[in-house]
Amino acid sequence: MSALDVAAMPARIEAWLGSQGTPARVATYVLIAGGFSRVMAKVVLEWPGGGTETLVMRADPPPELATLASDRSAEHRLLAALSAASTLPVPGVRWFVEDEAWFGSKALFIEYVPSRTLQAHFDAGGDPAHAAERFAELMAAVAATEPSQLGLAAPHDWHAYIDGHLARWRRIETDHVEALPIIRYLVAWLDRNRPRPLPFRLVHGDFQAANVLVADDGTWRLIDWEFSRIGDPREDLGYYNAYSGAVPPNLAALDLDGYLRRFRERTGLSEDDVNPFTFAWFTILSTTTAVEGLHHGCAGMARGERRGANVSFNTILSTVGYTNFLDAIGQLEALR
Amino acid sequence: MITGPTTEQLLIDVARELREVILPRIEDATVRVSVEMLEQVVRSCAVRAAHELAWMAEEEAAILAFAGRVPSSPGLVRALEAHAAHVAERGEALHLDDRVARYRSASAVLSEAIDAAFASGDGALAAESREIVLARNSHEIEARPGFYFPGRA
Repeated sequence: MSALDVAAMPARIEAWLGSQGTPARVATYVLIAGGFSRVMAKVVLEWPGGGTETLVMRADPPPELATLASDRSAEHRLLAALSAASTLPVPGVRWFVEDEAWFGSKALFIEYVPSRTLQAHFDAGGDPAHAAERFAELMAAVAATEPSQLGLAAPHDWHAYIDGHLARWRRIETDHVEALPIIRYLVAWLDRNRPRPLPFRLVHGDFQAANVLVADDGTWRLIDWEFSRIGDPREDLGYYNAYSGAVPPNLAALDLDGYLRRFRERTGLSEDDVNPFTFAWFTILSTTTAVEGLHHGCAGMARGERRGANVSFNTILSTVGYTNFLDAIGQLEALR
Repeated sequence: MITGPTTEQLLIDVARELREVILPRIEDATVRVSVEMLEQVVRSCAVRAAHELAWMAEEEAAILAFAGRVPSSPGLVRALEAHAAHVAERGEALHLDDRVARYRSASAVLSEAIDAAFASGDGALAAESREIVLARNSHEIEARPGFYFPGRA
């Protein structure tokens, strides 16, 4: 059983609600497209006393269909801390169900926000230039969030943290079903060209326009925190650059100097630390988690352990990442 | 066996059917995303069926030439020996699995050669390793014609 089972899930949710002493009828359970790695569904509840409530259920796909690994408990802890801190616009968590027996995996029930994504806004003709400043502000607000504000522990040492990133890159190759020379090249290059260390901050981990909801009232919400962590404040900048290279528009590239300036102003970081070179360096480094998941999917399929359109599509997505990394290194070498 | 239409032609037509006939009739958004992925995978398979044997052979030749120019290291020596043994044993077999195994063995040589190039401190060798990786990626780019992210709107 998983949250993909649209026939079974309404009764399962009703049973869980009943077990919590809050019985309700599930009037609607509809899968939502857009998330590659998680199963998401729009759930409309009808309460016994009248009234309805709409939520988004977020759970894991069955293991054989999984593309990327992340932990719903960690995501819940962070979302709860962010909601309490009220420094960033995130949808509130209504319930967290840790017992996997109910829905086949841990599950989050999150506030439903009538909205469309910022990516959908652009695809419908929205002007990227009008959104760039606000987008930079939101990204910088994440990067300005200190671990202590969220009650989270920071790594002890920046170089050790980066060593850990590079070791994860190396493991992508050693865990794969074949040699990946491009990974070896990227690690060697990154190691040789490390930027200056910075204090640790909150990292979203998948900062992109499709993870920004533009609510019907015009407010924004930043969603999909499954890859969030405490890390270098430049990681989201780099990740976004890599991602939007494949999924335009790239709001940072519209006016990179202006974008980085706004980021520096909001975070208090200096130009020595946030500049086109570090932007490109983190473009490569910051995608480890996603690249790791893509390769695990490919390796699993090659071993006959995984299947599905999402997994086979990883063979294409991983090469898109390679192209972006190589482009970024090319840009950096040109800056020398 | 029938060779015409070729595997490439067959797969291109399967992708066209998915795109032009099946996709417009799908109303379920999640199924639509899956079919958009499959359509791209099938197109990629068409390109690979047409070219990957030649690409693997071309890349292997460039890798071995590069490996001969970088300073030796224990890892590189091991990888070269393993590759030579593989070629001696199954090197001329033409089944795809055999060619893929040979290519993987050559790829392991390239990984070790890249490490050796960077470890040498020779900027020209490091730059040369980049060129080989770029050539490999150019084939990967060719193998994803008309790429787009499914369902992101």
